[in-house]
Amino acid sequence: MAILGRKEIVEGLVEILGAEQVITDEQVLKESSLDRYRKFEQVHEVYTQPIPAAVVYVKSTEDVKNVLTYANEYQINVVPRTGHSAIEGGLETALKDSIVVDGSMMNKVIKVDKENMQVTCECGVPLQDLDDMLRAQGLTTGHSPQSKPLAQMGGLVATRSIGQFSTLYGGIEDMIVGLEAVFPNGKVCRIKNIPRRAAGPDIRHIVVGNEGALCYITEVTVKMFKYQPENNIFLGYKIPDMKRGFEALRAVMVEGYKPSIARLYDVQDAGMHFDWSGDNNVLIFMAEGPASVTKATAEGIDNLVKTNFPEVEPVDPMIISKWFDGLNWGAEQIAEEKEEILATNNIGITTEVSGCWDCIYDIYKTACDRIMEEVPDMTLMGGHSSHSYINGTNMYFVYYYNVVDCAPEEEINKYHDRINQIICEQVIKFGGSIVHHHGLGKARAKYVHEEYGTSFFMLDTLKKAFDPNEIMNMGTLIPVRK
Amino acid sequence: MRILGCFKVVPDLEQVMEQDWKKIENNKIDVSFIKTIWNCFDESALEMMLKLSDLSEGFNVLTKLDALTIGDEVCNQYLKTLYALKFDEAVRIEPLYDVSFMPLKVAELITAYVQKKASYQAIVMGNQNAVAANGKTPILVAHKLGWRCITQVIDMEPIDETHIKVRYEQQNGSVTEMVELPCVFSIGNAPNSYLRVPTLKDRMKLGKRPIITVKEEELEIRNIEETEELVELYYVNNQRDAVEIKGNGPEEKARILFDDFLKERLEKL
Amino acid sequence: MRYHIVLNASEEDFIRHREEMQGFVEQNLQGIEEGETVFIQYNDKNQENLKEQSVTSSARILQTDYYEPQAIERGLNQILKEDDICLFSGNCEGAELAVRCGARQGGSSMQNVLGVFRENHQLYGTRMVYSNHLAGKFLLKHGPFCLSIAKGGLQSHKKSGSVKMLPPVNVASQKFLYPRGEREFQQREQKNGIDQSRFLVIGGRGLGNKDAVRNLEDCAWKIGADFGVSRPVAMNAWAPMEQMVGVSGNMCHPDLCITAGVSGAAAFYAGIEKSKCIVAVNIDEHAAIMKRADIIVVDDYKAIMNELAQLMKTRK
Repeated sequence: MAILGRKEIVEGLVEILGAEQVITDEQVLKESSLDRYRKFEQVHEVYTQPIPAAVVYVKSTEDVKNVLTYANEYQINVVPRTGHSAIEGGLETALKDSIVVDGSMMNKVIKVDKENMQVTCECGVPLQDLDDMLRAQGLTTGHSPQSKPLAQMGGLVATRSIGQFSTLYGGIEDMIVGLEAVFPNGKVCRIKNIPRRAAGPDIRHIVVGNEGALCYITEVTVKMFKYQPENNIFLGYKIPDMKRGFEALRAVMVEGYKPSIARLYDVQDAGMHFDWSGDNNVLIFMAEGPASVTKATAEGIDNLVKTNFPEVEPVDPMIISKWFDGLNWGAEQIAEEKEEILATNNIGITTEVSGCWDCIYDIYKTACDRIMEEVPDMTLMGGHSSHSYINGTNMYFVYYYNVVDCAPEEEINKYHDRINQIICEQVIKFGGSIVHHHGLGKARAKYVHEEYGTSFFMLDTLKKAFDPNEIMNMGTLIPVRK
Repeated sequence: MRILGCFKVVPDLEQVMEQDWKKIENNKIDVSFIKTIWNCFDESALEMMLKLSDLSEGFNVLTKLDALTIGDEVCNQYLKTLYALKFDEAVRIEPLYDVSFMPLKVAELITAYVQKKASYQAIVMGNQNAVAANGKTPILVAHKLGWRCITQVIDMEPIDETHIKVRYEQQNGSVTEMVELPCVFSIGNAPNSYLRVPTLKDRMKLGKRPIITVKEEELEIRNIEETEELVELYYVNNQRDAVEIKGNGPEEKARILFDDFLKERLEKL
Repeated sequence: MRYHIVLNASEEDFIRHREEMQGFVEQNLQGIEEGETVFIQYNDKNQENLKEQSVTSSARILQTDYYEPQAIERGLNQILKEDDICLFSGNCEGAELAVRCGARQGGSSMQNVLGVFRENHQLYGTRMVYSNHLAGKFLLKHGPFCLSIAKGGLQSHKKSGSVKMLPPVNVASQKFLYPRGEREFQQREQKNGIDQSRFLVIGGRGLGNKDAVRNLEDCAWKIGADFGVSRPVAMNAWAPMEQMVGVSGNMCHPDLCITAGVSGAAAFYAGIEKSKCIVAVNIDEHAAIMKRADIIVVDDYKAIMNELAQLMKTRK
C-alpha cells in the first residue's frame, strides 16, 4: 500500500517527468479508473473504483524506468496502459492512489526491416496506423483484432491479443520476434530479434500476456507478411445444426487447410450480422495468400464441406466479402453505442473462452442454457467461434440484456458478473480455458486458481520474483489479497 | 384506442462502400448484400407508440398497437420483434415487386388494409424512407382515408379514447395540440428515439406468433399509375482536393492551417 | 404550361425563401411561361409591400386565418390549372403543401427538387435519393406539377419590376378543418439561422458527448464562427435540433466551413456541399468527409481547434 499521499505522489511524478506529462484533471482521472468491463457504469459516468492519483504520459524508456523505480520505492500501484481498449477490467485502478502510466505518446515506428520481414515500433504505435502504413507498401502485420482502430502495440502484446486472420497468421505470440520491457526495479531488458532459438525457455512469453502485472513493455518487433488482398477468396454456408458446425470447423482444420478466417456463428449472433441466415448457423472461411494457394485452399475447403456436410446451403461469396469489408468498429461506434445504452438500457457484452473439439459444443450449449435459465432480462444470448486450431477452437459469447430496476453501480453484480461466472463455471467443468484472448484482467482473476490448477505455482512465483513490492497492476491476473 | 404503426425495413446505406455507389445497373443499385435496419423515422414512430401505450394505463385508456409493413420475408424478423414488444397484430403485405419508388401504390395498399380492418383511430409512421425519400405516404394515406394528417410530430401522449396530445414542429416553433382522432401522424426528427429491445423470454413467449401475411392481390386495389417515374439514377461526384496539412503535432498543424489557408479567407469575411 | 410560385409571406424566413425561389426560377424555368406568385398570408401577420417581393409580374394574396395546410391546399385548388407547374419553398411546410396539392388534383408532386427541365415535350425533375448518395431523374407525368424546391439553393435578389396584383383568394381555415384542438405554440429561440452563416464550425459524432459539443461551440464562438452539428449529435440531444446541418436540418453555404469529428454521411454532406471552402479535422483519415473537403487535418480536433482559437486571439 502506498506510503505517500496523493499530493506527494503527484509532486514526485512532476519532479521526474515535468508538469506537462502529469495529468490530474478530475475527469481524466475518473475515466482512467476503469475500462469497458464496467461499460454500464462508464456510460452513466458513475465511478465505483478508486480514482488514480495521476495519469502520466511517458515519452521514453527512460521515463518508464524512472516512474517504475519511483513507484517501486514508495510502493505505489502502477497501471500500464496504451490504447485504453481493454474490456476485462485490466485497466481498472483497483488500489487507492494508483498511477496510470500511459505509453501512447511513445508512438514511433523505429524500423521497417523489409529484408528480414520484421517491424520494430514503440509501445504506443496504433496498430491501425502501423498496418495501414505497411499495407500501402504491400505488407501487413497479419494482425487484425476488432480493437484495431483503438489498440496500440504495447497493449496488444501485453494482453496476448489475437486477430481475425489468426487461423493463418496465429496470435500475437506467433508474431512477436523480440521486445524491450522495464521491470519494477528499473531493470530494462531487451530480447533480441531472431527467427528461433533453443537457449533455454522462451523468455518472450514471460512478457507476452503479462497484462502489466510483471513489467512495462516499451518496444516490440513483430513479423511482416506480404499483403495481397486481391487473392482473397471467401466462402459462406448456412448450416442448420451448431454441433455440426463445430464438426465442420474441425474437419477443415484436421484435414490440414490453412484458411485465414474460419468462423461459425450461431443463429442468434448470425441474426445480428445477416438478414438471410434465418434459423441457421453460419460458417465462413477466407483463403488468403499467394493466388495458387488461395485457389487450392478455397476449392479444397468447399469440397470438403459440401461432401461431408451435405446439409449446408452455400451463400454467395460476394455477400460475405461485402459484409467483411463493412465490419468496422471504433471511437464513433462507441459514442453511438453509449447513447443507445442510455436510451434503451440495453447493453451488449462479450466473453471469450476456448476448449478442445471434444468439449467446445458442451461449453457453448450448457453456458447458453444456464444463462437463459438463471439470468433475468436477457435480450440476446449467442456467440461465434472465430479462431480454430488443430486441437480445438474458441467460443466468443455475445450477450445483450435490459438493465431493469437497477442502479448503474449495481449492474455489474446483478448481470455482468453473474453471466461471467456461469460461463467460467461451465468452461472449467468441461476443461476448457476461461480466457481466449481478452486477458484475465481483474474481472476473471478470481478464477485464476481454477484456470491454472497446479501450474499456478509458476505464475505466482513469477509475480513474486519480478514484482516483490506488489506495484504492477495489482488485482490483474492474481486477485488482491484482502 | 387502436393504433396502426406503418414501417419500412431499409438497407443500412451507410455500410455501402463508396465505390459500390458507382455500380448502377438498370437504374438500380445492388444493396442486397447490405444488412437491413429499421427506417430511422419509423423506428422513432414505433418507439413513440410504445411510450404512448405505456402512459395509457395511467389515463385509463385501453391502447392496442398493430404494425404493418410492405416488403419481402426479411421483414418477418422485424415483425417478430414487434410481437415480442407486445404489439397485437404484426402484418406484412407482400408486394408483387419492390415498391420503394411507388408512393401512390404504397398509400393505396395501406389504405386498403386500414379500410378492410375498419378499426383504427390513428396511424403512425415516419415521414419518409431512406431509399426513395418520397416523403408522401402519410399525407397520401390521410388523403385517401379522408383523415387529418399532422406532420413533423416529435411527441405523443394519451388523453382519452378519442384524443391524443401531440407535439409537432411547425414554422420555427413547436405546437402542442389536443388532436381529435382519427388522424395520421407523420414522425419527423424526434431525439433519443431508439426502439427498445425485447427480452429473449418475450421473444419466445410472444414473438413466435404467426406473422399475418397479406398478398397484394388479396387487397384488390385498383390499378394505379404513379405520377412520377424514376428514369435515371446517377452518381454525383463531390470529391474535393483534400490537401492534407502536415506538421509535428497539432500546434504546428493549426499554425499552418491558420497562416496559409484561413487568415486570408477570414479577412474577406 | 405556366409556372406559379407559392410563398408564405407570414413566415419568418419569407425573404430568404423568396430569394431561393427567384434563384431557382432563373436557373430552371427560362422559356416556360410565367404564371403568378401566390402569397399566403394569415390575418394577424400581414406583410407590407408584398407586391415588391413577387417573383412574377402578377401576384395574388391567399388570405387565411392561421397556418393550416389543409386550408391553403383548398385555396390553391382554385388557382391551379391542369398543366401548371406550381413551386413551393424549400422547407418542410413547402414540401407538405406540394404533396397535398398534388394529391388533391391528381398531379405529380415531388419534394427537394434540385432542377426541373423539359425534354421532348415532357417535364422532368431531379432530386437526391438513397440518403443523398445518388441523384434521380424523374419523369413528371401529370399536371399540375407540384414541386417543392431543394432548400439551400442559390439565392437571387432580382426583383420583378412592375407587378400587377390579382384579386385575393380568401379561405377561412375553420371551414376546411377537422376540429382543431386546444393548442399552444412555442416559438423556437431564434438564434441567427446557421443556414445563412458565412463562417461555420460543425461538430460531429466523433465529439462523443454533450460537454465536448459545448466546448466546441465555445471554441467556435471564440473564432467568430457560427456553430452547427451533424444529425447523430442532434438526435442524441447533445445539441438542439435547430443546429442540425444536413438534408433533414439546415442546408448551409458558408464561405468557410470547418468540420470537427464529422464522419461525413452523404445526407450530412449535402448540407455543406455548397460551401466555398471545407476544412475537415478528423483523427480518422479514412472518414468519408476527408475526400470531400478542400483542406484536411488528420489529428485530434480538440487540440487543433483550441490552437486555432489561440492564434485568432493573438494575431488579430
